[in-house]
Amino acid sequence: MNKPTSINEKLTATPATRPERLAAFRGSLSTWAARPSNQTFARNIGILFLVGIVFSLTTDRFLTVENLTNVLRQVSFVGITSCAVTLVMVAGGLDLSVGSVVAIAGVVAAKFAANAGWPLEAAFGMGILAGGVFGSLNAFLVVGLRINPVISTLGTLYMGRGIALLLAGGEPVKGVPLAFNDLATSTIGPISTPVFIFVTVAAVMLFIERKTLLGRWAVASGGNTEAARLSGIPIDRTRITLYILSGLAAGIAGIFINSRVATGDPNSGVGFEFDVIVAVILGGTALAGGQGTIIGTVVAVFILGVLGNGLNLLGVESFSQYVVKGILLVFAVGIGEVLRGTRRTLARLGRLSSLNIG
Amino acid sequence: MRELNLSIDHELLAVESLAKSYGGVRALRSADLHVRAGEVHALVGENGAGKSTLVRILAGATTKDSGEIRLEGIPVDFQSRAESMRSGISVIFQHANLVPQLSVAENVTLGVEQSRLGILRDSAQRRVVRDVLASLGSNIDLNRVAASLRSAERQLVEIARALLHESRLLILDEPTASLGTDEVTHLHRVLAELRAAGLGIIYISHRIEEVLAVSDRITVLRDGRTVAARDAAGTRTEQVVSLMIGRDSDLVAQTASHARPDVVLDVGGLNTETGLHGITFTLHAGEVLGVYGLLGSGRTELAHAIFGADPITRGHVHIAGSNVYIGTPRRAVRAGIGLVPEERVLHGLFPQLSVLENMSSARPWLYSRFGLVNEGARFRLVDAMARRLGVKAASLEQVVSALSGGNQQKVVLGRWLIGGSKLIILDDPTVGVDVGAKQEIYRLISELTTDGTAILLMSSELSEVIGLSDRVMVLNEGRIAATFSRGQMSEESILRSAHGLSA
Repeated sequence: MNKPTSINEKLTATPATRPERLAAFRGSLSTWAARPSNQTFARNIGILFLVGIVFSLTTDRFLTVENLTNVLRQVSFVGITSCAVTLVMVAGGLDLSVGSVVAIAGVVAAKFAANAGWPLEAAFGMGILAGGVFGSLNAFLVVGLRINPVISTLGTLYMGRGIALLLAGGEPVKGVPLAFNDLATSTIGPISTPVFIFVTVAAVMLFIERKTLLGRWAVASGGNTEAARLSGIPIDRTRITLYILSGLAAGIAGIFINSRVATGDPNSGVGFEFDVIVAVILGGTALAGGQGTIIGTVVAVFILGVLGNGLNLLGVESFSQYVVKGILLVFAVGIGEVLRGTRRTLARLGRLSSLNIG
Repeated sequence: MRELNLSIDHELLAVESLAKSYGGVRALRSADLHVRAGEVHALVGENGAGKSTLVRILAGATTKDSGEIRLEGIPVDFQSRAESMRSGISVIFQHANLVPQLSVAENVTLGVEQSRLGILRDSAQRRVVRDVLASLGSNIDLNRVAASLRSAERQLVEIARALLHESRLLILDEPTASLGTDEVTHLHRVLAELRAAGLGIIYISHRIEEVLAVSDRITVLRDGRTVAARDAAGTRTEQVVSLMIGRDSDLVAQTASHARPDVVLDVGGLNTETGLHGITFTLHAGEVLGVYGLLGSGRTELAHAIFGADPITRGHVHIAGSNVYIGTPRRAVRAGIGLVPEERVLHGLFPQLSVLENMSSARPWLYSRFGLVNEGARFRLVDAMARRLGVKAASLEQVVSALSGGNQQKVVLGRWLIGGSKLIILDDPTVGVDVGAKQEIYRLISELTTDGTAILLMSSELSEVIGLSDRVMVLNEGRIAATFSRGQMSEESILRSAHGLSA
């Protein structure tokens, strides 16, 4: 421990000299670096730049405004959902159901537009609301009935797919007005609407994470449930809110994804949940909870987007892309563990050789 | 620091005739404890005297069977830890209860965050946090994550949190166990200030001299009863120790010695990362070497180091007749060492598996070839051993978690007896075992030594160590404090050296 100083001593202290300021800066830098999430963040920024540089050098079609805007548009759906799922996982939960929520939201919106003849804005609103309702179902199972989140949301993933197929009668909803497609293709100012919404959702989630009780409680609930409980933190309410937010976010992604294909497709969003989880984990969120940041997730979403885009430009077929993304996930997330393990083994071997072995 | 508008010297906590049993074991029989506001009250007692049970009840972690607890005159009966916390009791356990991913400031304000419409107002509160920490004489960087703090710093963060939660009673459980000398001095200064501010503090420690120096009053527990409550001033360490032991301790009848001259285990200059320093001793065939020490003295660590479960940084562990370096439990088993661990269910058993599976798990080569199990041979081996040990189970197929503590212990022991062991390490073998099974385990130990098996008996029960051991080695803070042979050992001398006093 440092030598204790009282506040008064601090106030009357002479202004810091340059080396002192430098030491203070180094101190705060090491404080920053001591957070695992910051380490992951630094690593991911490195990966993002590395991937970007490699693609800039290997194909001249990569580093263009048009292409990068394209990347942004492609990642926006996963991005919107990943931000919400990040907070669910930080609070010690998991949401696998988002892929099915995408389909439900799309089908519900399309049904209201086609069959009920609702105005499109209202129909899309109902789609998002359907996502929120599904989020509350997850919350009920996980928080209310205390069913393990993996099991609960794996179950709702199946249920949701089935519900979407039942609602739509097993095929894309017919009779959807052409304007259903406008949402995904429209722009707000110079920015395409999905990208705008992604940025907005990310900003809101970032605010929730950093500046609200909900964000603080999420970390406490997932980081040390016992300490959170003893401090009187409403763990259940926190988790319920986050599950509903996750459902709403997946609903938003769902109406965009379905607007893009101009109908409500009950088979949309298959495998979407894995894209989301991969981004969240790559972004440094711990499966055990407590750890993870929105900014980390956003960077990871970009890494995956840029990687897919660059490989496409290079003409790498999608089968190989899966392999590359899988390797990236395993190595980026696992490498820290591997390095630590190696260091331990080396230390052990070093000790062994210095020991008096029979 | 916030203003404490408590009057000093009124009775803050009154505990009367508190009793609690776990299963058949009576952890607390009749405990009394009276703590005034503005005093540091020490709670001392031997291992198993009931201190932790008393604390657990006050913390709301478990409920009382009978007796009364009054907080500022109002009877309370906590059903949960949150309830106890809300009533103004903060317990600071050895292992800090912080959220590792949150910063110092965030941990201190956890649960009492200032906010408007759900939006945090951190900057205003940071000043409060800094003031509270400063009043505790600490200038920890508020942005550091809790995971990166040292134990002394974590403790102060927890105390700061307790203050923000407006706690009236602070319970510190072995607060100095992992602190350096300067840190201990600092903590004591902090406690003096909190006392002056009107808080009641219950201070639990094994270090009697430290306790007498820091506290105003002292309550001694023995066998679940309060045997003394007196002013700390004028009380001598020796008096406290003899109060802790009492006169009428039930001695286990000393068993005959079966020690032979040949050395089975030779440990020299053993140092480990877990805190053992320069442990040197030999153990002979048929000998029982008792190892006594307080919590944190290194008993379990020694068992683990010999068994190869924890890495050794310096020194050697040799087992007779085998020249291998024991670096892993697997090699230890091959060399003929068996370990009956302290945490029976956690480390000793496969709770969902049968008695048969559990007892046959150590030496599969006795009943299998090329990875194929000879079920008949395995059954015969286990059956014979279960009969010999008198394991009371419906059948060998019974799930082991359904057995009583004593029978579970026999299963773990039996695992090492199948195929025979040169050395068996027993780490507190009779904890949570009823009296009858205890006697059987004692009989077994004696029986094993006649066959030449060496026994290393770690125990927190003095009478057990004295009754069964040929020699007793006392550990204190990872070092050998003293070794006693049969003729020299007494409860008093052993306990004195365990407390770091000269024997």
